[in-house]
Amino acid sequence: MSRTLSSLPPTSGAPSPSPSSSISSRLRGSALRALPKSYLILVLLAIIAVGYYVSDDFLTFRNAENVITAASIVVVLAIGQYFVILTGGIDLSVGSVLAMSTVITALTLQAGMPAGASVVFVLICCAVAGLINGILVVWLNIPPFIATLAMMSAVKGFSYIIQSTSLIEIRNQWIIEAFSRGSFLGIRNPVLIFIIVAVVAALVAKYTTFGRSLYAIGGNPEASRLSGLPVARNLIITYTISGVLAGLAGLIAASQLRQGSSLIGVGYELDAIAAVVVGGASLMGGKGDPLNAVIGVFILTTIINIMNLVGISSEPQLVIKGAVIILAVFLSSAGGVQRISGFFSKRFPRTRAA
Amino acid sequence: MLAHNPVSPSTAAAEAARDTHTGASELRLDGVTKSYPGVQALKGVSFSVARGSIHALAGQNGAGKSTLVKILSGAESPDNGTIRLGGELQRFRDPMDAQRAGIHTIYQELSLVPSLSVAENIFLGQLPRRAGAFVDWQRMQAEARTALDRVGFHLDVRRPVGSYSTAEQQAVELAKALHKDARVLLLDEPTSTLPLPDVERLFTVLRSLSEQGVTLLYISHRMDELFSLCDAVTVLRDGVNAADLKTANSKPADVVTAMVGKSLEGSIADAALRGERSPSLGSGPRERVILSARDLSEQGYVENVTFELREGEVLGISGLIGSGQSELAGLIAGARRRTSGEIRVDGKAVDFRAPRDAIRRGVGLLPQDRKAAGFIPDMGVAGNITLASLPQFSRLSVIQSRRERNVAGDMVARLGMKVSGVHQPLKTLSGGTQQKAILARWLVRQSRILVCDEPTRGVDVGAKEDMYELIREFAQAGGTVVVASSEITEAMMCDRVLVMARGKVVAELDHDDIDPSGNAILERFA
Repeated sequence: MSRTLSSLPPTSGAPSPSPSSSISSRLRGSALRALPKSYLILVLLAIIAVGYYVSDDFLTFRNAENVITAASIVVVLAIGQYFVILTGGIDLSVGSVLAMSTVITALTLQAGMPAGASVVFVLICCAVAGLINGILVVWLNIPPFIATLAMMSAVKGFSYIIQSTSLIEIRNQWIIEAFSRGSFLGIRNPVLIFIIVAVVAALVAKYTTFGRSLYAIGGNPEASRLSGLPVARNLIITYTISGVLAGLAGLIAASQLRQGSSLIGVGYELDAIAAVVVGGASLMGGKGDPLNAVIGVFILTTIINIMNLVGISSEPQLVIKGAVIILAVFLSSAGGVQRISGFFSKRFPRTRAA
Repeated sequence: MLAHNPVSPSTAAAEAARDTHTGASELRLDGVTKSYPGVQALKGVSFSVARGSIHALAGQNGAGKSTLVKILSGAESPDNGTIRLGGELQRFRDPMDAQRAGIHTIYQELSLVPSLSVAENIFLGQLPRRAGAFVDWQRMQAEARTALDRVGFHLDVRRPVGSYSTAEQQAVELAKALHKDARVLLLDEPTSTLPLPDVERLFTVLRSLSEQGVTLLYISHRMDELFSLCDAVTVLRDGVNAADLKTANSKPADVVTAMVGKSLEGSIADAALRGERSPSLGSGPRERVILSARDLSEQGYVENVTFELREGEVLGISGLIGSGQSELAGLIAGARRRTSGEIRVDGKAVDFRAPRDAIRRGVGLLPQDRKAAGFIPDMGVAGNITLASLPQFSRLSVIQSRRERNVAGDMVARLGMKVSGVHQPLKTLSGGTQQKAILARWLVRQSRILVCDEPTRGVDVGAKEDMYELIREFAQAGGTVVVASSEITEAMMCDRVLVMARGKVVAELDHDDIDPSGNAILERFA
């Protein structure tokens, strides 16, 4: 049927819109695409500048390493969360899955399982938790918010049950080395892990058919279905990926804390969601960039770090964190930039008339 | 109809003089301009609408219609120029301002709250109170009934609006405007979502409103409506009023010519407008049956439909809205599940469980509701075009961006899509261009059978013509097309027409069996 293609005349008004409109719309298009990203980096730089100004300890190698290491767990969670939010869903269970991951790691090691096998087993368990989320959402048609809320509770309860004591210590040096203390080419392993995860996520989102289909599903699920995309399959895969990444984050957390406990990771799901939306993704789905979610994590972590350095107690920290989330989302995705510029052009219309 | 106010592109003074001894001008615009960054949407629009008349506003997408609606409804303010209502100069700061002045706008997408009752919707924002704090339900319901009486509908005002049909909801919207003492009603394509019998009913209501002295500004693409309903037409093109015509002494072709800025003589739409027999879009069927259906049913929608689709033909499925033609199209394209019956492609029985099964067999669907089912709004033109062919545009699931860009660029040029680049988000493009992008998706997928469900709904005249031309080209290149449509003129362009009523095929007509006015089809709808 290539005849169909070639037989269409190449004429019939090729795209030649008036130059002014094409230039302006192109400018507007590229500006819109660049804005959220550049604003985010500017926000991060501004926060770093503030940190430098208020604390002498802030811009030190040691502190930077602390911030980045602390961020690595949430970055890994946020990337899984990003893909789920990209499809128009949400995964509230990642904090619980992370906790379950630490518990299962500790338990299997305690039982004498080799470290490598333990890692694989933990990731499989977490994948199953994600898979169940996906199945609830796709086959049982339960809204993602509710399905993953239920899983959050169920997984947490499950962790308590299998844990049976308050916490389980981890003494296996291989695990601690691999996910916390070790380093490669001078980069600490958890940082290396999150960089690899972030880069792979960015490539998948931008260059693969799977990534493309997630943008399509989030943007318009019915049009995606009618175009023959494997909507159900890809949604299930996405929730499974989120589960696996929560498990990976759990391995990092378990190695850093050298223990497994169902109390680890409480509220992490909200940190991950906050980072994704600060990173400019829309909870309606179909929009965003995984690297922006990473920047979102760093914005939030850096602010906490600065507040710790200057000795702000944890309660005011929460208030300030909330305010920062609102401000960042307003600027990056709620059209705040346009509204502010609109406000000024309305107040001072002379510039346009001139 | 009431006072015909001759509106011609003459000088303002002459017009004012005429106003004094014919119907007074209710709404009058002089030199209204509006520019957005980079675009001048309105370059000076002037026209006047006589009190109690029905005045049409026509124009292609991008002509400035929607900007004008925004300005008149108070959503935007003009850069220059004046708006007078009953002779008084108006400056609207927001939509409430415009409503207080008496201009009410009824949009295509109705602005009712489905879960609230009819009465509550009519009184929304100003519920009558008793003793300061309690809603006076009885007064509210009585007044709501009165308002509905004015538009000739008798509904249970206590039932939620969402339980009523589109036509009835529209009546509620009209009643709401009348209750707020609307002097001028702006109607933005009110019939685009209405089935035919309801359109007639709406027209009756609108005519009676105009007799009651309400002035109506009626926006529509459809020539038959403009001429059967309206007294005068103002045609917008490129931000100016290209023509001001009285419907009594002009022809549909005049309006179309003014809209597109060139004569459409010899074109398909023109033939249809002039009431001539439309030339067939297809090149005539060949012998080979490419797809066949036997006793195909979907419970409640389609009942025991049997037909054969021959390679190279354009098959119409015609029916009033809701007669099952749309559902039948969905069944053929795998978008809906049959409850019984059989579909064969190339003689082999197939089981379409999902659209992808049909796509694999070479069937592509142009869905009816473009926004809800057709495209990914934030995705670029290229991404939307290759959406059904991603495996063909990737190696080891990595998308071959350059090939994608090239093929999308070719499609943009071949289909004459007006875009600034292949990555422009589809939501920023006109309806016609969006429709072309979806068509391009199936061309790129090399589909053999194109199923079009109401292919020209919400598409302007120029883009409509383009769509017909594309369907014709698709058929001439050996492709097979199914057109499900509630528009008689579209059915008349097909090689063969299945006429549907209440889910059944009630007649099968050849192109030559259909008379120029389409009565052969129309009389079978009943």
